[in-house]
Amino acid sequence: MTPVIETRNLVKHFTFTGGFLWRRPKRLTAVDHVSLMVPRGETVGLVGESGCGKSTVGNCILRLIRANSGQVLYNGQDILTLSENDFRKLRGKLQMVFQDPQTSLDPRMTVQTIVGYPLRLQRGLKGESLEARVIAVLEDVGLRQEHAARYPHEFSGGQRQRIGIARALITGPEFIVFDEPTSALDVSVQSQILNLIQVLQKVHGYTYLFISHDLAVVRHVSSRIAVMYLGSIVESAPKERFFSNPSHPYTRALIASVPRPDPFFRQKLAVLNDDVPSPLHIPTGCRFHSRCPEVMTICRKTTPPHVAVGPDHWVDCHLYH
Amino acid sequence: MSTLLNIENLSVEFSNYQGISSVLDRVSLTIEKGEILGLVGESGCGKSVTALSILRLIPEPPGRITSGAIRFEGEDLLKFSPKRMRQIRGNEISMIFQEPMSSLNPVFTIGNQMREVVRIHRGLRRREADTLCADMLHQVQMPDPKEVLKKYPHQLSGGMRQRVMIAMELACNPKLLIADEPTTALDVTVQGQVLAILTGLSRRRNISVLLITHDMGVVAQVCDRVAVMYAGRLVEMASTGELFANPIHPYTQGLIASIPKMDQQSGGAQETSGEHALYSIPGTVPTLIQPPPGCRFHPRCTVSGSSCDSDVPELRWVSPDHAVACHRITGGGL
Amino acid sequence: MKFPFYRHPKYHELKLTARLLRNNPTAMAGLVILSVMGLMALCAGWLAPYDPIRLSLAERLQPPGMAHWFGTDEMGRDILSRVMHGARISLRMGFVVVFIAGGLGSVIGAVAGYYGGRIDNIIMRVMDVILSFPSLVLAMALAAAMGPNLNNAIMAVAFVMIPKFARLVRGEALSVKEMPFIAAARASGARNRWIIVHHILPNCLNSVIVLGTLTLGDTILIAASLSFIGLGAQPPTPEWGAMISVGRKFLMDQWWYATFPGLFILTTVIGFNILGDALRDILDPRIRR
Repeated sequence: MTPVIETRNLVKHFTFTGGFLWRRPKRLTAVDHVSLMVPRGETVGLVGESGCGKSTVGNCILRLIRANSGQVLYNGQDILTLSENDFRKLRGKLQMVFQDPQTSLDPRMTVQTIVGYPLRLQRGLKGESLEARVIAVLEDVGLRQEHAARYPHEFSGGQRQRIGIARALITGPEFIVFDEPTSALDVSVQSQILNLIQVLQKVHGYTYLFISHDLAVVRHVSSRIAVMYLGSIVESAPKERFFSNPSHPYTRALIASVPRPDPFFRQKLAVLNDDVPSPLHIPTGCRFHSRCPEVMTICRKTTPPHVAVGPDHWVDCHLYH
Repeated sequence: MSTLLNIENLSVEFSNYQGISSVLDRVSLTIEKGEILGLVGESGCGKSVTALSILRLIPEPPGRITSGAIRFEGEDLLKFSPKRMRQIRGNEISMIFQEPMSSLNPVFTIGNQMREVVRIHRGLRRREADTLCADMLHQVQMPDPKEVLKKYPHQLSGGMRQRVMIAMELACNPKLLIADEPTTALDVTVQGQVLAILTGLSRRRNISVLLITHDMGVVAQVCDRVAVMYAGRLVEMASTGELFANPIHPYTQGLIASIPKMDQQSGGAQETSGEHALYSIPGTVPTLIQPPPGCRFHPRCTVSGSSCDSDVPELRWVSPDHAVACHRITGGGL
Repeated sequence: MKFPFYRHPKYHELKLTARLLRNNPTAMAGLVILSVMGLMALCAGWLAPYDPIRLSLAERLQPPGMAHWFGTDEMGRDILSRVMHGARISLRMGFVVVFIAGGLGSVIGAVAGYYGGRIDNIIMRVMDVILSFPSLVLAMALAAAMGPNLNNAIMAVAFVMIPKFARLVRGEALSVKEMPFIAAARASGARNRWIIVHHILPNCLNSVIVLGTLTLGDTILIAASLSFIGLGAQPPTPEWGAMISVGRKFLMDQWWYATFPGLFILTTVIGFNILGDALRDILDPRIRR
């Protein structure tokens, strides 16, 4: 079964000239040969801390940012090689829900317009038929018909995220990237939104890439999880194996750092001792070696190999060679 | 244990063109010497307003403290003159905020800003101030303190900046540190370090901490006692172990149940596969311009009863270390 | 979506603006001034007691009195009537200039800000060149080159005002284009032109309104200055600047000739400035929410 989305060796650099007069242009490799697969009807969780490049991966898949090299296969076809016009026809199938409910909706448009115009652009629907579709999708996400006439600022954060989800759904997509959709929301609202997107997946068969820094949330929604660190994926596994057999030291550190809401299970909070290195100066060899509790000499010099440590469970680490 | 801070029936209102919001309604809580109290709640519950009120940092229009007292070591802070408040701030009561980039001035070096704080309150000369600052940075486990003093805020990472803030605020040995979501903007691996530093320092120096957060995991790991707020009122207060083992208020129960858990459900059946829906509290947080009458949580409460929509529940002690404001549990109006 | 007008969402926005205006005394003062001027401009034909260009040499240079509230000029024309008609000319100039400069300037700025890179560079350097001339001097040069009449003066002033709008809108466009809703628009398949028209420009509207209001005042001043030196309105057109130009000769003995037009220029410009400042505060989204 071809996965709905597959990336192969996706690379994205950002170059910029820093500071005063004659600094040499610096290159930031945000995404460094990332390959991942999202099977149909499933949710792949992409986890990592800030600056690891996970949002950039999502943007590259949707061609919101132009990748430097690599492939993105949609149902087997490389969409990075398509022309703008050809790809535009596919846009309705690949959608994204953004993080910040405050800035992801145009404050000067009504909900009707915000949710409706993707359909108008894609299929030229107008007037009453467009209105009917908008109302239908608003009801799908738990809003009501009268909400369509209002402006975003009249809604709470959770409701605005619902509007953002409605906008993503109206064109009938196959694949949706969720970029930290609940990070800006309260816990009680977060659970409503997570339940909503899971229900929608069951009913419509959507395929999701769920990007987040919150491991507990990712655990709840994903069937498969991949961890990114400074631009590359260091471990990927099905959910159960991920949590029962975390293999990469960074994965273990991440899992151990999440504070459990259980006062009888006191954790050692400071699991790693340094800060994340700047993505401008990625360490040589294994990029995690500067913070790794199990670092060996070889880690400083050679890039770690891509090893299978279980069924469909891959790690980039010297420990398993 | 003696009481360091005692907030009694604090009420705060904010007015804007839409009307007057009752942002805090008769909130009462205490902080003992040397303890870490967690103040939890979601957006709009008033936890930040409570913190800012202690330091009298609420802008007077549009905000207004309408009633109550805040007793710090017995004296009511709300009656202090501006001059005395200035002596308290940064010196006896310090505060660190969520976004360290906004608390640090980007055009001055770290050393410059730290020295300023120390010299205002302790009147030290430059060389002594420098030594003190380097020492404080060392205590927050900053690598290479002398170099850091020469750097600018944008040259440090988020975690380092937050550590600088902790160092600055603890330099004058305050009795109370208010930390308003200090790790929310940080990555989870950095959060652990910062929390460890914060708790370690406060234990060693017997500094009380008011830790404001929305993260129940942080609360469980770090705090001695917890106070839960909802829509401007305090709804439950207990020691941490007691609160998680035995949450009484429906909101607290709902909140804990809504959190996606990292491990298999404690005490429940092993869920090996299949997604089960997360519990979610129905409804949304009310606006505070016209809050629901009676108990402010009643429209969303699954067990609300007859008097919940008319009588305001008072905070009552159901055991020596557990207080709840709920009619159903404390025997009112069923 | 069809609504009865009182339920249309934009209606609430306007009501809010109106209420904020009402609560701001300086804004109301500005509005009052401008309403008076506007009324004069619109109804000059009916309100003016005399025909502004009718000569009556018997009544020349009379001081303000019962028959002629503002006195008469050297041709016997009633100055009050001329000033009222002058309001029509000045305000018309002001609005036309602001619409042209605002419209063109906003589009230019939005394109520069949104596309960035070389397009931005070229456009903004051209704008810089225009801005490097003092606006009055450049307007004078253009008006002189095109021939001294009112319409050419309007074109000249509009040209000079374009860079202000371009620069403003470019700045706003730079920040708006980073917003996630722009990325969302692209993810929905919107083309760049569509995004500029439907997303970028509407979000710059508030700043453009404020700048436009302030520019109205500036325009009236520059237009009056151009007419003052003979490059704008030609006699017998009762334009305020032209009236001052002629009235200068009579300033010593017939003070009323130049003073009244001058006062009206002053008041109108103050009115626009006050209103513009108040609008800047009112339209600030942080205050509105």
